[in-house]
Amino acid sequence: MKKFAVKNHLAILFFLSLVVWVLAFSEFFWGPLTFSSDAMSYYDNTKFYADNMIKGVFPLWNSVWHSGFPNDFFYRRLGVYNPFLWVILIFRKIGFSHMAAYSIFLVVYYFIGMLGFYSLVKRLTNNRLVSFAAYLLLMFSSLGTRMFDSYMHLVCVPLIWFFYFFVSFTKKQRRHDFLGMALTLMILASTYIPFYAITVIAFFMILYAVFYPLRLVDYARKYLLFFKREKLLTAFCILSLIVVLIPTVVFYYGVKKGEVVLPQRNYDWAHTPAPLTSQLEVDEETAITWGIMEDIMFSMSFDDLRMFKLAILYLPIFVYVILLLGLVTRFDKRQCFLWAWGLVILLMGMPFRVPWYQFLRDHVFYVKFFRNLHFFLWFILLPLFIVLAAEQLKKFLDFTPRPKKQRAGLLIFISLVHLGLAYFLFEKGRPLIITYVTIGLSCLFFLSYIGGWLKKRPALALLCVFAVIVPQPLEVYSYLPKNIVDRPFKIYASTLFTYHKPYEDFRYVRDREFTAMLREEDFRNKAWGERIPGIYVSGKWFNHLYQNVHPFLLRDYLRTPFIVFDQVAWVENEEWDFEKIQDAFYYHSNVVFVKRPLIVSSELERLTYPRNEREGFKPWSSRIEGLGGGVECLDYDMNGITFQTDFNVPKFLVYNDNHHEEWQASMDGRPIDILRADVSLKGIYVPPGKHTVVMRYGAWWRYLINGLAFIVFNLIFLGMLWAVGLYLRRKRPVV
Amino acid sequence: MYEKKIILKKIWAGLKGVGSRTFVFYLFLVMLANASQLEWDIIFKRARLKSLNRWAPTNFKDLRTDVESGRPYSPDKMREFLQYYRKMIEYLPSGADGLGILAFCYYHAGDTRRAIWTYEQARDMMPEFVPFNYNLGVIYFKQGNYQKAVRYLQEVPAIPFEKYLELTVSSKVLLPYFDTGNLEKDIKYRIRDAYANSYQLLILSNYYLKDYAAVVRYANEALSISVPGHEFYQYFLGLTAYEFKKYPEAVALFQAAIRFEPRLIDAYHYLGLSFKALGQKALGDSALKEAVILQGTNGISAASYEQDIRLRLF
Repeated sequence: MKKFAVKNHLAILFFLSLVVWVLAFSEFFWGPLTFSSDAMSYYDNTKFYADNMIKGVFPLWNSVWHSGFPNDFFYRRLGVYNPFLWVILIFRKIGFSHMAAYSIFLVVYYFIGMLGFYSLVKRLTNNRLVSFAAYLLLMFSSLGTRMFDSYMHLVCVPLIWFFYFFVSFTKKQRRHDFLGMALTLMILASTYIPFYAITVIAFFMILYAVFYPLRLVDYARKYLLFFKREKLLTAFCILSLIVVLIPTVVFYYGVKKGEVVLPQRNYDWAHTPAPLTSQLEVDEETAITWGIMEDIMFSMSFDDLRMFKLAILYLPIFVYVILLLGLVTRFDKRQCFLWAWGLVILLMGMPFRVPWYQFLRDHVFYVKFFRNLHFFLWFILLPLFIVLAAEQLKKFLDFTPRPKKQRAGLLIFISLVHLGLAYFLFEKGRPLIITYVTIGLSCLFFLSYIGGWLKKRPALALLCVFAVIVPQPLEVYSYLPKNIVDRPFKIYASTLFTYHKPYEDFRYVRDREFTAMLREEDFRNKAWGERIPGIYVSGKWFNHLYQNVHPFLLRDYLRTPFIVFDQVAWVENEEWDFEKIQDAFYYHSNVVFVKRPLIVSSELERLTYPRNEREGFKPWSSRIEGLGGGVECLDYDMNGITFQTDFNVPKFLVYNDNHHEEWQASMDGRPIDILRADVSLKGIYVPPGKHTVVMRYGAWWRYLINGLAFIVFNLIFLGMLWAVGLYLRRKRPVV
Repeated sequence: MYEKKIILKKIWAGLKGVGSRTFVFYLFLVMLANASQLEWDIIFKRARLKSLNRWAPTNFKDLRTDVESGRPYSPDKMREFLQYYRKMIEYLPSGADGLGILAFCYYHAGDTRRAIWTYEQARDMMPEFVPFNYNLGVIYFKQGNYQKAVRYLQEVPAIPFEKYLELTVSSKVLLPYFDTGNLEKDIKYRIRDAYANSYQLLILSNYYLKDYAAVVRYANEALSISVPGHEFYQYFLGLTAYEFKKYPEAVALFQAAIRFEPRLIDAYHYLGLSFKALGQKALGDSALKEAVILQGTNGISAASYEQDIRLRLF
């Protein structure tokens, strides 16, 4: 047992740190608390994805979101091809609840990210103790807390691993590092807004070229040699990256065309009444509202850690000890490079009165898409700061004072720094007792290490680092649950999360739960004031309808998925008369407003409003509230619906789901046109008699590209694991 | 010459050694930041103010609708207010109105000592803002320290209505607590009530201190400017007359009080006693009987005025 512990002490410590970290947030993982803010919608999106995938449907369309919306938007945010999302699917399939499966995914993904950070720092410093300290500092920083209110881990984890593989590959060109680079790049390119990662990597490359121009030539030569040697692999990875980028590019142009609108996201109604050129663009006033400086200032205002909340930047006190001790260490070119890299990003994230941001906004097209500039603090600056601290720690620990005088001087310096820090904190306010304990332990650690005693005992040194870093964050995080105002509790999941309400099956009458999914708060907001944009994201035409019709009438109209009409009022050139539409909604009038297509069949033309009332139809439309109404749903999933119609006379049927150009329909096997009815919804002409109508979303290439993306992601992931296995087997010494 | 060279080399090596240390780089960064001509003061100030907004409580109105009116309030939510206003004072130390609300929160969080200290600070900064004097008066009154209560409360009638109004309306800190739908009426009514409550507390405090002359003076003053609570002033004028055994005047004053508030138990009680002192036993008995009936039904006692007096946000 002892032998095992000595041999695997590092693995045991990693495991121990994971257990302690999970325990620190137990109230979230198996306690009553659940996700809040943005983390809620990410949880929701994964649930929607997992629910459908388990049924064997890759949902390209989301008929729940604002009466139908291409799900691509949420996939872009989520990074749906990420192989680690399989963790959720596997645990769901085993029988875990989505909450449990998602929590496992979060823990696994975060832990993998932290292991990546350890590996990266180890590559840079070649020091196990320092790397382990850096790992603990990042793991127990507040970066981990952001998974409960945000989605930083989705970008941060692949970014860390990308840099690990990049540094590793640059040092020695190995297959698994190349595959790792490709995989992480693909994840970054298909998750959230890839421009954050692109900016970080681009600044790194540019500054590297400035700081190390000569090395660059050497690296380029080595890279080319590898590409020549591994032509097939290189070509496959490049092709895979292109495949993954296609949905992103298609989405980007779709948004640019205005198919998707994000009125709440990118528009400061008070300051910018002028329209934006792209829906992804964020107006300047919104962008400068909250940058990195604001995030730092807000975090600094939490001088009493007993008030710790989510979204507060926090680092264990040990990092400040390192920075103070590191003041006397030598400053080298690498640190200078890392500092420059950090400063360039920091200044970019400070848009207010700092011309660097303005310059980039004017000259780099995608800078206008950044709404959350403070994300750079979490994605890169926080890990980078710890890397810098690790560099300093390494230098300080590597220092071996030879003469007794020098050693005594250094020991006095260590003691004075710790005493000074303790005094400073005492003067500043009332720090936690554990902070003093940590400072005391840290002092003992450095004294014994520099004194030489601990240096000879590497396993104990690792344990000491653990004991110095971990206790303070544990106490800080213990205050977290009670400081979250309006604590979201799991027992209210059915009201907190959209997809905890029943939504998967077809219903002839959408009950309260479903209508509440149509963003209740947006309806309320709209009723309160005209200038509140309400919708976060929706289809262009639905937003148009929503903005111009009273929300409660719209809600009532959307209550039944099928509505049948006898009269069609044609609308030319998008000139919708909302007064009339609203009246029709209110009175359930037997007339539907339909955008006139180029060619109207003679049968359909016969339904043109006004028709002769002697034809015998009723003055109001008929809402299909169950079987026997003339429409029967035969099959339904998120990507399509099949139903049977049976009427005595020709009708116009509105399927209350948003119109989109990628929806296709057929009747009895023959393709038919889907018309845009009531501004935003789907409508078809239905002749008398029994007919089977099939409606499906998504062009063939969309399925193909998504399928290919899934395949290449998983192939590269498996290939990387295989290459790592091969490498490790070769590395193992022959007994 | 050779020695000099060696010394110079040593100095150079020493300088190089010091120059390559991390703290030199940090100093260089600070110098660079200063030389960059960026308006750091403005940048930092704005960032601090922006971050202050994140401390804002989820629902400002609670402080007015629940706390001020004496409803039970969650300590967690009260802590939210305390944190916000503490931060506000830290960032904007010259804001007396913010201090005032902080003191209000301290009081309702049970920290009376700190509430008094904070109100006094606010009062020193803005002596003409009625709620500071008034609230200090209320706190001391509730503590039974009537002399101190009078000291602060007597400042209130001396402050002109217009000044009070001006200071209230111009306060950005108080803005979230205004009833914006009915702003003018809301503020004016509250100011009027503040004056009325001040007079009532002054009268009560002086009565407990047995300074009857002051009771009469403040009651007459309140009646002359016609602030709400006529029955209260008439009742205390009657009570003073009764103490001085001026029974006919006492009877008239108690009757006047009853005209304004027919459910005032104490007015009936002392009216009865006054009648009896004047030898009108039947009238006295009838008034005393009325007092007993009111006590069992929906009567109002003079003590209830005391209980209803609470700290004011503005």
